[in-house]
Amino acid sequence: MKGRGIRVLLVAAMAALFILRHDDWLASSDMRVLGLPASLTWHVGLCVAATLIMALAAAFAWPRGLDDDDSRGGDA
Amino acid sequence: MTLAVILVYLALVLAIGLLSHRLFRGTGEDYFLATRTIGPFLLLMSLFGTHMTAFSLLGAAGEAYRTGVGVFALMASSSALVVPTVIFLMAPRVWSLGRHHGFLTQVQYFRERFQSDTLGLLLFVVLTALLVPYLLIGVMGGGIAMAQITSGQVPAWAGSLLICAVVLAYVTAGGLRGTAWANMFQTLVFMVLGAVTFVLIVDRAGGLSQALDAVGAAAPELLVRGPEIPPLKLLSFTLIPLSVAMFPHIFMHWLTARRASSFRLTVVAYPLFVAIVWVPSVLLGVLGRVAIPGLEGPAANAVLVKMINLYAPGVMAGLLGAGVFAAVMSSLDSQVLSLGTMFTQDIVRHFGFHGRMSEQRQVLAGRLFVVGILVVTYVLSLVTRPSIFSLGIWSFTGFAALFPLMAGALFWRRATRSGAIAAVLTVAFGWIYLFVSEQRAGGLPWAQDGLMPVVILLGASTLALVSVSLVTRPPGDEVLARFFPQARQP
Repeated sequence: MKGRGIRVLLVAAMAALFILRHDDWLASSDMRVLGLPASLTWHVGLCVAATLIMALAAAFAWPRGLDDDDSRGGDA
Repeated sequence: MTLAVILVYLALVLAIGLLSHRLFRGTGEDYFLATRTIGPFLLLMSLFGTHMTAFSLLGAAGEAYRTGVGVFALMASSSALVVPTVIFLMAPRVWSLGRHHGFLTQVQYFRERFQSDTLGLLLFVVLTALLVPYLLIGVMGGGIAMAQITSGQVPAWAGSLLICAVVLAYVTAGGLRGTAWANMFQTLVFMVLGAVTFVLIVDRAGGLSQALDAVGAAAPELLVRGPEIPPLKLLSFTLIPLSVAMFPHIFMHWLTARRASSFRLTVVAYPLFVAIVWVPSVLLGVLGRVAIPGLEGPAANAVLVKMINLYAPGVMAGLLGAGVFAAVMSSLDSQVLSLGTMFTQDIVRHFGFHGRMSEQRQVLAGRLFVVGILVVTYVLSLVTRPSIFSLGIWSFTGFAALFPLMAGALFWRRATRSGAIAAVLTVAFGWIYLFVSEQRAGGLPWAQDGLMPVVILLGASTLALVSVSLVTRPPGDEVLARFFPQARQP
């Protein structure tokens, strides 16, 4: 996949997390998931998902040309 | 014994800050920005430690005690999504501009970008005023923690004073390098000790499942997000972490990076770090409702410390208390340093006093300003008793409402000087009006459904920036060439 396609995908994934943050279906659920209240587990899951998306963003969509020696991008 | 452990910890932090002075290169850039040599790991730890404060430990636990696990959804998960996104989009660009043009402060950047001394002065006043409630969180939190952990051996006023003195000493001696090293150490301390506290307390409470069952029986509403947090409130809170783009102390840390790519580790690890710090705080606050019932209003801010005292007294309480102080001081130091830097660079030097004052007197003026701000904050901490959570939210609201200024400066070539000034004035007057209205009436009538002042202020400042910019003369080509070079476009 080309750079632009990856960036669009990452923006969409991040936007999805912002939407999924509104877990109204769990707002009054007293279930426990992985030992924690379901809503709390859900939001911890969002944190983990954000980490993964940010890892992909840092690897494939990092802004170019900011360091003197990376005008072609990427120096991880 | 508890007090002895805490005093040893404070001495250790002081020593780290003072030892970093040995690496001092004797230049202003080194004192204020560690000569832009901070690598990825130190950048992550110092940025995270600076951003997480008493608000995250004491405030989150206190709010969870009052309203339950929903506080994680409100503040933590929004921070985990918004903050790394903001850092990803803005920090490397700010760093690059700072390095190319030699900026040391946020005010300097905006003053140059919009070619306006008036804007610089206005921003200095507004940023300083908004930072005071944030400083207050740390000073109050530190005092409360000290008094609770030592069972009143050290009163809150003395605890606050001690923390102010330690921070002032190592910031003054070590500059930003000392602050960054002390922050890294303290971030490690509060993350590790936070996890240890949680495991220890939960174990002594009979295990997490049993402890949550007890909460479920006594106060089941604490285990669900519930009606206390309606969807509109959840949505409003998403905007609060935008404040990270405008905190002067965070901006200063952005400028310290060795390279633009040094931020990669920060954006990746940040969401996970948020979960690591907030989950124990929120759960301990909720469990505290059963273990220590009856804490009303601001008294709930002390629930975390009371839990530590209840389940892990003695040496362990001292160590765990050190974790709380670590969180408090790792923010306070950067805030204090950023205020001193802005005063020295943006007032004393920029407005020509440097011609009449020696270098030493300029530094002295900056330090006196910092001492003055700390004295004001300290006195306020003695006479006010608001909730740490509420105080934090008002401070963050002001900074978040200034977000369009940073976004416009970095990404919108058409943003003008007049638009920027209009946005800052809108935030300043809007913030004062809403804050005073809330304090007088005990709440804002239109906020019942969860609509927060940040939505109104952010909308108003965006409107002011865009509309005034569009009807005023665009920035000149020379300014655009400096701040929007083609090479730096994504």
